[in-house]
Amino acid sequence: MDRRFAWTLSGIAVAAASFGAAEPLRVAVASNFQSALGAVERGFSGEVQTSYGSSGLLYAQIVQGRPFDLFLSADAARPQALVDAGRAKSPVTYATGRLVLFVNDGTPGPAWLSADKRIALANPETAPYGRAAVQTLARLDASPKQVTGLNVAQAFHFASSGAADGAFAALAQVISQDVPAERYWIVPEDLHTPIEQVAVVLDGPNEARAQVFLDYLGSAAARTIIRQAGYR
Amino acid sequence: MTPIDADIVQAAVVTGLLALVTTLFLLVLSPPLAWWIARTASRWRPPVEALVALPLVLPPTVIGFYLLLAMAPSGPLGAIAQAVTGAPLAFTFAGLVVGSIIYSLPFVTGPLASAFRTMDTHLLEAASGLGVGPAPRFLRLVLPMHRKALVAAGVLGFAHTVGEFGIVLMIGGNIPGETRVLSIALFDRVEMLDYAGAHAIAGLLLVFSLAVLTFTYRWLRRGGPA
Repeated sequence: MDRRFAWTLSGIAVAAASFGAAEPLRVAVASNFQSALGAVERGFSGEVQTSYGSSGLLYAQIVQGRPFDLFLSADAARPQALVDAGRAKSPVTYATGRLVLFVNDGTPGPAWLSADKRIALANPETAPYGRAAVQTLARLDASPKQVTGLNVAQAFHFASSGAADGAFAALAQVISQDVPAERYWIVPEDLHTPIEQVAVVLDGPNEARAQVFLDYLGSAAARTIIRQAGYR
Repeated sequence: MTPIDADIVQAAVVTGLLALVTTLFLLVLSPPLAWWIARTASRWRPPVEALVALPLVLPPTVIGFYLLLAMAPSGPLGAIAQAVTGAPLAFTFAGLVVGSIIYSLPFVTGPLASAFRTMDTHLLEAASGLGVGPAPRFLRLVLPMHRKALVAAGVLGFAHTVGEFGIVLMIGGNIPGETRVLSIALFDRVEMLDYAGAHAIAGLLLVFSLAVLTFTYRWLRRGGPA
C-alpha cells in the first residue's frame, strides 16, 4: 500500500477517534495560506481553530507561550528554530509559495517596476514573501518606491485599495480574489530563494491530533487543493 | 551595544515631528471649532460634536481603513493632494499628519469646548457693548483667558499623537524616516524578536507619556484659575 495513502487512512481513523473532542485544534497560519487552508479544512473531519498573522508575529507568540498545536509558517527558518529549541517536531514542507507582481494599471512584468511606481511588499524582515520581493527587485535591478505592510495580506490590501500602484503578493491571494490573469505576473522562481513553507507540530497535549492534520495536508486530496490554490 | 540604535532615533524624530506638526494644526483648527460647539444654538451642533468625538470610540484601524481609500490617488483626499502637490497622500508624512489631526481632534477640541462652556459671559457682553467685534473678542479676550486650557489641550493632543498606532499601521507603509513612528518600530522589533530594542522603545514611550502628563497636571495646578 502506498505510504502516503496509509498515512491518510490512519489519519482519518485518528481524526474520527478524536472527533467530538471538546477543544478544537489550534493552528497558527501564515497569512498567505489563509484561503488555501480554508479550502483544505473543509475536507478535514475535525474542528480547527485558525489564527492568522505574519510568520514572524506567530513565531514570537509561540515562543512567548501562546498555546498553539500546529504552526504553518511561510518559511523554513522559524519552524526549524522551534525544533532546535526543542519545542516542536516533524517539520515538513506543506507548500511552496509563488510570488506574483500584482498591478492596478499597465502590464505587469520587470519593465513595469520603474522608479516612479509605488509598490507594496510584506515586511522583508519578518515575512518570507517580503524577502523574496526584495531579492527579486535586486535581481531585476529595479528600484520602485517601496511601502511595507505587516504581511503579504496587508501588502496586497495597500495595492487593491488603490493607494499603492502594485504589490508583491502571493499567487494564492490573487487566485482567491479572482484577479484577472492580465493584472499579475508570476515571478520566475530563479529570481528569489524558494518560498518553502514549513509546518511543525508544537509540543503540547494535542500533538497527536496536530500530526493527523499535518498528515492530512500531505495527502493527495489536500495536495490537489493546495496546488489549485496557487502553490507548488 | 545599547539597544537604542539609529533606527529608533530616526523613528523618535519622525514621531516627535508628526506630533508637533499635528498639534500646531490642531491649535489653529480646534479653538474656533470648540468655541462654536460651546456657544452655538444650531441644530447642527450634536452631529458636528459627534463627528469630532468619533475617534474616541472608533477603533483607529477603522479610521485608517477609510483613510487609505480616501487617500488613494482615486480617492477624494488623494485626488486633492495629487492636484495641489502633484504627489499622492497615502504612505507619506503629510498623509500621517492628516490622519493624526482627525485622530487627535477630540483630545484638543473636547477640553477646550468644556472650558469655553463654563466661561463667564459678562466680560464678553461688556466687550460687545464697547463695540468689539466677534473675531477680536475671541482672539483678544477668549483665547488669552483660556491660556492654560489651550496649553493643556495642546499637550494632550501632542501626547496622544505620539501614542498613535492603528491609523499609522493602516496608512503609513512603514517607510524609515518618513512614516515609521516609534509605535510601529516597536511592533517590528517584537516581530523580529529584538526584545532589547522593543524594551527601549516601549520604555521611552512610557516614561515620556508619564512625564508629559505629570508636568502638565502640575503646571495646571500652579497658580489660580483659567
